[in-house]
Amino acid sequence: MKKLMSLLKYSFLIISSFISIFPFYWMIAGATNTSNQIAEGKLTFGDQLWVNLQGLFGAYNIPLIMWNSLKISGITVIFSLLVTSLAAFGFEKFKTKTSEWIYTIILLFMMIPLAALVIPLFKIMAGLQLVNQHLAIILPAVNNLFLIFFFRQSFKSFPNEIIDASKIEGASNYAIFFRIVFPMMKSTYAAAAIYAFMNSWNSYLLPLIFLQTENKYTMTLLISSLSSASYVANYGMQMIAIVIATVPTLILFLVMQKGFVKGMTGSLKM
Amino acid sequence: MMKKKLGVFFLGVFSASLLAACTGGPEANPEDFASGDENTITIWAWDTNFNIPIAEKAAEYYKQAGHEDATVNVVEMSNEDTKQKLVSGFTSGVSEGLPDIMLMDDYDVQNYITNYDGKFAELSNDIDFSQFAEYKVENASKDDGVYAVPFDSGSAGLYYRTDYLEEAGYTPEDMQDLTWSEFVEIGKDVKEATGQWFVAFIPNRGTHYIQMAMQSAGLWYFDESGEIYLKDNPAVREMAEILKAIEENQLAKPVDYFAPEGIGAVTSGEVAAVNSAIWFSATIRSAEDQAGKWAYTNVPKLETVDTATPYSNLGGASWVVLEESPNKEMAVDFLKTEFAGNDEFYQDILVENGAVGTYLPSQTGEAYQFEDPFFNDAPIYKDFSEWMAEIPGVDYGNNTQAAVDALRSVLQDYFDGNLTLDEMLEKAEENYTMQVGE
Amino acid sequence: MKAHLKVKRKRSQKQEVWKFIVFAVVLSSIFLLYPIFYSMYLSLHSMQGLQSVFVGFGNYLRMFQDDIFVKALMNNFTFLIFQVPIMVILGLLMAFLLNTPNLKGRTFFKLALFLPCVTSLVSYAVLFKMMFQIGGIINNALLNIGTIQSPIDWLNSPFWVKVTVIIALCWRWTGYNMIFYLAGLQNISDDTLEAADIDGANGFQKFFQVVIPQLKPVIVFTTITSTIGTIQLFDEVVNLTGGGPSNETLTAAQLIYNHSFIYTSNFGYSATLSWALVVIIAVLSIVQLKISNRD
Repeated sequence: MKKLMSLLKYSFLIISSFISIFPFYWMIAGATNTSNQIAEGKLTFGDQLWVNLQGLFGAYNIPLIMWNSLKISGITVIFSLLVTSLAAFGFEKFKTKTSEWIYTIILLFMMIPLAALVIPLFKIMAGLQLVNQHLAIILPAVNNLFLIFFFRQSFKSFPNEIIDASKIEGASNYAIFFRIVFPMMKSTYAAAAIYAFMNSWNSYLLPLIFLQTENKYTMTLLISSLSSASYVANYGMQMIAIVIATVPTLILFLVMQKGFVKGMTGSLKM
Repeated sequence: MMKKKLGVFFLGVFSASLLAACTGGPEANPEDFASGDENTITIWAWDTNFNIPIAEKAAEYYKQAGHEDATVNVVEMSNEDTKQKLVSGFTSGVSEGLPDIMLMDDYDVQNYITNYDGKFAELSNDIDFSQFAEYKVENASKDDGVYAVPFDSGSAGLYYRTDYLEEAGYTPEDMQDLTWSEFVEIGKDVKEATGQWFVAFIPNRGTHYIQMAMQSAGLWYFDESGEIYLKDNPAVREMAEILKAIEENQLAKPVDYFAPEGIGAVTSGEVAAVNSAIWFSATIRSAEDQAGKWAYTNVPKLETVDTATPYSNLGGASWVVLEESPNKEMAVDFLKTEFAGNDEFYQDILVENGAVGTYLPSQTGEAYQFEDPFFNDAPIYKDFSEWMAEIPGVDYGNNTQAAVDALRSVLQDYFDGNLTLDEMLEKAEENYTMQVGE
Repeated sequence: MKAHLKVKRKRSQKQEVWKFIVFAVVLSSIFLLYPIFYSMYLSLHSMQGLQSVFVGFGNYLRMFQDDIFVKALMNNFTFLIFQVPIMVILGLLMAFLLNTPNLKGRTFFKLALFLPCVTSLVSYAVLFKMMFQIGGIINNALLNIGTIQSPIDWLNSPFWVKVTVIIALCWRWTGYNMIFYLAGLQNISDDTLEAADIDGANGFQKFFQVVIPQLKPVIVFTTITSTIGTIQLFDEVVNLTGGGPSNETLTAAQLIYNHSFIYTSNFGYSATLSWALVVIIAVLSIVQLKISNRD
């Protein structure tokens, strides 16, 4: 029975992993093939890598576009973690009638599709002289409502006794938050950071609307424009761009994963 | 005390970083959209293999013609993105961030010049539009004004593989003056004889076939009063049946005809025929190993429509100048000098890019006589240009895209037998009405 | 005396909460509240290009007769009903298995299962579109294994295209949700799992009796957010299927976008449809919360 369970467990994990990884293999292989070969589903590596690379780097300032994406996502992550976790902590631990109302309204806001807000947002940004500025993408993204919800859910399990005890010792609420809550909730922050980064990195509609010029582009915007700007789209070049755009999120995962492993070993010690 | 400090600290950090992010401003490159600089204009266009190099070439000519200090920035942007940015800008009343000149799909021109009245420069005082193909000028006209400079031709024809056709027992003579139903019959034979696909496009998205057929008879999705015109439109009815036959007999490789899979199907020799415009010849020609195997003729003709001709159009685009452009005069002058007056430029882009303009004086040029070895020395540009003069003009109206979507949303149900032809077209008209809210 | 203290504490709490939520509230007011009111104002107007006419509730009346909107909503629900449960269950299972002691290759599996969510929505939609072509790699593989006799037209058959979208969504989002379950599992105290071990609970029992109840808040929250995500589905369908064939994968968000930028730029009607979506999502979320709070 145990053996069967174990077999099932490993088969499930192996099959799932294969399905998860396969498109990545195919995308890397694709980066070395021509458009036609990719369309035909060629599985093996080809000899077009250099041609595709030259095509992409020749046509676009890839380092600059990467830097744009990194800058936007980095700033967004730091500020959204700060703003949303502070707010969530306030909402959860210092509830008032008004704050509960505000929280409910914020939850409702989460349900509004971005497409509905595009035109008003455009007007605001134009008024602030922010069209074609990265700040136009960062500002609306910092206040990530989903993260407020996420943090509040997580803070629910944070024991009030610790807060009360610290208060008796004379610590201010900010101090409690940054010195005690933050260090204790690291895995929550890790997950939130991943979410915020991915969200910003993948953000498509806002950059599409606000970023007009190529020197302001993000990688996501570049990939979409690669796929639609020419009638004869170059899949090989697209594949390379996708591979390049995936590297930073991949690195982030590798880094964050260490945190996970650490936490997990801690929780599994006999 | 402590918490106050912390609060102040965070406010400080917060605003400082916002400021820091703001200061990304000055480094912004203002040249990618209309700038205040008198000698700079910005152009938005799509297609790095076609429109972009052509616009850049026009810029070179312009500089050589005594505008040495002029700067023309050509910015590549997909057709969808240009429209989306235009709509955002116009609707929110912000003209910053828009270019001086942009390329516009002919099917969209009426829509934009009508719905965004006053946003595009009226050009008939500066440019002599009698020199352009009439159907293009009509499409750019509203009331007494003309709001776009016609650019390339979408003069359409039927390209086919002589070798596959021969295998199925057809000579080039057999391919002349086809009707659409003959076209389908040939397709069946070709598929049987060669095992190849006959054409490549997704039948339930085959509105480009319907559009070619409609225009060949001077019809469009809308009647004279601008009402949706599908159910009683003989061209739509005939073509719906043709598309159904293509779908049922699996004559079409179901790939987007304008995506790499569709292009690839043609260049890798998987299909025997393509109905498309002159600009598609560049794609066919790119399959060098198929040189000499391709021929072309007129598009098939409708049987049930009295006004049917074998001349039609697919795609094509025009240049618009934005009224609020700070350098409107220079932008107009640029278009006038190159796109409405420079024969040499047109010859050049014909040879280099396979672009057939709709500027008539250029078509007497030598380059148009070019006998293309790829097509067995046929004078392809001359032929397509001559056909161009015969293309019936139609009013593309304001909502072509909505009509396209409405039709595409019902075609598969008709193919599958869930709807009859009448039911389908009725449903499409309802969908259209819902989409435009009339 | 005591009452006095309580009042004082309450008052201070009232001020404390603002210190924490002020940034979020300010940002929400500028970038959400104002646009929302503006969009409500828009929803009372019908627009075409620059022309705008006040129509009162005309847009709302039009919406109720809009078959396309209904069809788009039905598509959203189809995706929702299949994709969310599959994804939540698979994600939980993965997280649980990854969390079992003495698992060989844990790091590899974890990384592998994470991988899909490092791709951007645009990228993976483009990838899947290529993979599911009629002559593409998926059909080649299935034909070779012998699962199917003739190629499936994944992207053009009304049925299979929905399957394709659901597969794609599950591929991209399962690992993503698994992250939250894993993070949640970190917060389950060792004692609970140890106690279960001591009680001799097997894997199944541990999964259903310990992990699931403990993870309930996380599950509720991933379900709600996935629901919202599926109802607002946009990037994927646009890039994978374009909403076709025959609007079989058209989603409400895409229809809203089309009304804004593709058809007649009627932002008024777009805003109206958006508000309908908001109401639907709100109802669904409340129902899910109520169900989850029942026991």
